Amino acid sequence: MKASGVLGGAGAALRYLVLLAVSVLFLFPVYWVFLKAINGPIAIFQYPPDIYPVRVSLANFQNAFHNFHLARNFL
Amino acid sequence: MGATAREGLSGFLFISPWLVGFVVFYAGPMLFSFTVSFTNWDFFKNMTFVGLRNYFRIVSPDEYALSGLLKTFLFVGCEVPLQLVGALVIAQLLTRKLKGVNIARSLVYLPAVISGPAGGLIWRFMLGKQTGIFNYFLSFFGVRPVPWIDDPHYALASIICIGLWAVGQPMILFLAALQGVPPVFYEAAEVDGASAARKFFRITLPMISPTILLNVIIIMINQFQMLAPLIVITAGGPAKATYLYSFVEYDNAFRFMKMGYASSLSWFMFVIMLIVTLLLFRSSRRWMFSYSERGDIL
Repeated sequence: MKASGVLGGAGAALRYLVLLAVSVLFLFPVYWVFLKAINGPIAIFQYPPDIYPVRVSLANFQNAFHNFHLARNFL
Repeated sequence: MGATAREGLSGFLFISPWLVGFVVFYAGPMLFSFTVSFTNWDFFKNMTFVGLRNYFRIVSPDEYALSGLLKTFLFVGCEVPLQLVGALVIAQLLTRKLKGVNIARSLVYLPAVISGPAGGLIWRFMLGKQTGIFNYFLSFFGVRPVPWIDDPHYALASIICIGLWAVGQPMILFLAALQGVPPVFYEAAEVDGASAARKFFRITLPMISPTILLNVIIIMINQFQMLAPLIVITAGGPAKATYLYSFVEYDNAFRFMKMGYASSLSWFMFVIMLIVTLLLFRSSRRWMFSYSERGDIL
C-alpha cells in the first residue's frame, strides 16, 4: 500500500506526524519511569522534575535489590 | 472394551491434564464461591447458611455496592467507545507502509505487557498534583497545577483517560482485521469515485464488524473487572470517587474478610456481564456483517 493513499503527499506527512505523536504519548510514561529510576533517590520527589538524565546513579536499583530483596521476589 | 470405547477413553486420557487443571483451578472454585455466596463465611469462623441475605444486602442502600456499580457502568460506558475508537484510529494509521511503522506498533503494544500495578504506579507519579510531570508541563503554559487524581471531580475522568494507554491489544486485533479486507473493494470504490469517508463507513467498518464485536466484548469484560491500577492510583479515589464495583468486591473479600458477601457481589457482577454480553450478541445480528471466503454473506 502506498504511504500517501487518499490524501496524496500531504497525507503521508500528516500520518507521520500523528503516528509520531501517538508513539511519543505511549512511550513517555515508560521513559519517565526509567528516568526516575536512573536519576537517583533524591530526585524522585523533586520539583520541578528532571526531564533528562541529570546525575546517573544506580543507587535506586541497589536499594531495590539489597533492602527490598527484589531478586528473591522474582523467584 | 470395544474399539470406539477405547478410542473414547484414550481421548479422555489425553485431555485429562487440562481437565484436572480446569476442575481444580476454575470450575471447582467457581462452584465453591457460589456456595459461599449463600453463607456468612469470614475465613475464620465456620460457614453458616444464610440464604439470600447477601444478595439482598447488595441492593440495600447503605452499602457502597450500588454506587460502585453505577460508577462502574459509567466507567465502562465511557471506556469502551474510547478504546474502540482509539484502537481503530491507531490501527488505521499503521496499515500503510510508512517508515518505522513496526516501531510504532510495538510502542503502542508496550503498555499492554506492563503489569497492572506497575503501570498504575507510573501514572500515579505522573499525575500527582505537586510532583507530577503533567502539571510541570502545564506550568509552561501558565496553567496552575490540576489535581488530576486528588480531586473527586477529576479522578474518575483521569482513570478513564489512563485506560487509553491500554489500547494495544484491541489495536492489534483491528490491525489484523483491517489487513484482511480484500483490496478489490477499495479499488472498485475508487473507480466509482468514492470519497475516503465513504470508503471507511461503507467498506471498512462492515468488513471488520466481527472484530468490532469481539473487541467490544473483550474491552467491556476487561474494564468491568479492572482493579489493580485502581488500587494503586487512587485507592478508591478521593472521597470514594473512584470506588468502583470491583474495588468494593476486593475490600469486602480481603479487607473486611466478608467472603460470603464478596462472593455474592462477584456472582451478581457475573450475571450482569452475562446479560450485557447476550444483549450485545443479540444486537450484533442487526449490524454485524460476516463475509466468508467463498463470497457469500454468512
